[in-house]
Amino acid sequence: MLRIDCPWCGTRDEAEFKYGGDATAKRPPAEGDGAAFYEFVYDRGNPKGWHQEWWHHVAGCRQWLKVVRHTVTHEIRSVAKATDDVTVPPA
Amino acid sequence: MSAPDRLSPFGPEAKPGRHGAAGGTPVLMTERKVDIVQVMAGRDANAKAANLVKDATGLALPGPRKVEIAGDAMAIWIQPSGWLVIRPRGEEGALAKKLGGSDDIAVVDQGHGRCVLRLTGAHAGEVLAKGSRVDLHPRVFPPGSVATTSIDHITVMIVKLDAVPSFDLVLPSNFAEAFLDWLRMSAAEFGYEIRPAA
Amino acid sequence: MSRYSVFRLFREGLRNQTGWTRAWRDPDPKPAYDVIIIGGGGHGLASAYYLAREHGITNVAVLERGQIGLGNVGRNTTIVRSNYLFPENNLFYEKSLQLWEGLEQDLNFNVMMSQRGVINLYHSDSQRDAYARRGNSMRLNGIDAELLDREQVRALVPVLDFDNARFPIQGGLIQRRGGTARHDAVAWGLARGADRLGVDIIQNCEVTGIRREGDRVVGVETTRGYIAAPKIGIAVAGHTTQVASMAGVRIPIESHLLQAFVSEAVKPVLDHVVTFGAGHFYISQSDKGGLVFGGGLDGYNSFAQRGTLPEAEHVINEGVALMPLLSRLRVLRQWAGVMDMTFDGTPLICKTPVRGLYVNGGWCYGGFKAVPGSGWCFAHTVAKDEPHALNAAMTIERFRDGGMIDEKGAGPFPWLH
Repeated sequence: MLRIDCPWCGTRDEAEFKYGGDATAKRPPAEGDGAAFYEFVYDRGNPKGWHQEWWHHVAGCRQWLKVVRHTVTHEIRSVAKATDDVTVPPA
Repeated sequence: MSAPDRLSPFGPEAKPGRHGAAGGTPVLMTERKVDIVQVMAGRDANAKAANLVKDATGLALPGPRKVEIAGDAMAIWIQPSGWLVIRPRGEEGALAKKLGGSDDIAVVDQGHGRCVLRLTGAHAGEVLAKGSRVDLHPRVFPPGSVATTSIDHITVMIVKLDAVPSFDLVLPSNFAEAFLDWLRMSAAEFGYEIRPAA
Repeated sequence: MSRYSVFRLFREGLRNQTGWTRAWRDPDPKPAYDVIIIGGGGHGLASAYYLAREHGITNVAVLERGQIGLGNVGRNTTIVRSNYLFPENNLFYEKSLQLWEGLEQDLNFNVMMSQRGVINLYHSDSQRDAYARRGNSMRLNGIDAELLDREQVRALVPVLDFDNARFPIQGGLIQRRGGTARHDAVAWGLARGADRLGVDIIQNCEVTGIRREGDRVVGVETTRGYIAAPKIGIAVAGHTTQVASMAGVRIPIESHLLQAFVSEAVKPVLDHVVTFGAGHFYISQSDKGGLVFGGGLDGYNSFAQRGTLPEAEHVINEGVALMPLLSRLRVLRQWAGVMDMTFDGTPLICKTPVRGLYVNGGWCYGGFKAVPGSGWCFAHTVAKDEPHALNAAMTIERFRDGGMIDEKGAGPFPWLH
């Protein structure tokens, strides 16, 4: 069971959230070429280590959060608002 | 001429009376007849929304996880720049009309979309705790607190009113009957009494 | 390395079982091979077996980080079937199922193939239509499929809750040739089969780097030294992105957790493989009597090989809704595997931008049933340096070129497939 420390609601169980995937992907401008969109949609780092990812607090405040979580230990290092810049520890 | 009274969203099982275990202190359940309006402020419009609600109802808009209670009326924080304003039922739509709204403040009548059940009694916290993942201990969840969470797969706002403890539960109306089903099961071991809607 | 037979079994019975020898060798790595397969799971072993058997390439090494049979080939729910909608999938999986049907004779090894039938339940009119369409697509491609109504399902599987208030069972799509096989036995049988054809199966040999010269591979660095080969196949589903990145190749895959469960053993109650149509849940009964079941992914990127409680609770909820008797059983074991999830739910068996480097991965949670077909197609791809028609669509480029094979229609979200 993950416990996610929502900056708005406090620490809540994973069951209140929906996963939203890699939070480092940046949408290219609409006039971007196919390669840029391929990278945005499909090209993932899939790190075995720290992963920056989106979680939606869907059964809570309904805000998108940026979570830094370890993909082997499942430890959550930080939870930030969607607009915050976060730092990711080295693997 | 007034509109006919709305049907209870809690369905036919919400029959007034005493149920479950006999003896002890029953948990009291009362459907509250209220108007509910959602207020959402756009970018940099929180202060403007606060003034709007203050002028219309006298309520201050609370910060995260908090509820502002004044008599029968309350304002609940639901999300950043989002609140519910609740007060005893009046003429349908009147509260929303009074609040008005503007380009940067959305006011939406939720009188049909959501409903409120008051739960009070010494065991009320234990009844909720069986299905809630939120810590409801008074040390971390004192009166005036609100938590939105999921109970039996249904999104519920739990508003703590006093130390009895009493709670107002704000529910989506279309799941109210299913929620009551869960609640009755959870409360059966303590005994519970369904009161007429008030 | 003699053949197994009933006469042999009888003779060993009389000799107190003293005449059995090890089923495959435990060689040290040679300095060079014609082909290196990274990964000694089902797919890696099958690839080496078919390279030797179908293409006469026997100077092959299979490099396994740990021991044979301890990865996903020993962590699945053992279901084999070919009941897919799209021809790119159903023709491929049908080839695999046909290989399964002859695998025990091929390998001289009992993999306990049991064609008990796979039933996908439907719970609504629209779902019936979707299954009718899927069944028609299968039949058009020569695969057996039969749409059952409620009473026909009840006759086959009376223990289900047909009148569940939310999800009453209306019927099912059955593939009678589908079923289960013993997962460990498949790994052992393929290892023995490949070994007998001359393949070196090298255990406790972790690949730590892939050496390139210009645009082609020349060998691998391992914990047991450098090994050269002009052709290298990656078959390490769960860690495909990690291994491919050693050669500078990025693969559109995310790794996710999938759990499985076994109950205590009970008398026979379930003669088929049954899948719930109102959630992601599938169940069968093993020959030992345990009910083997699983559900969906835990839902977030992970390499942990252990599942967490929210998904376990969800899977068991689904199981009890489908089959109420489950509520009276204890779960004996629970485990998890790391899934290579692609962005359309369909695997990769293909060449890469680096010459001599091939990838077999992205098995999502359909890897076990694909083992022989995947090995057969991958062997062809490596041997001929071009894909077979059956795996021609399973490329990396399909994502760039718009050739997604999205069986479920879930969109480019690996954790939803």
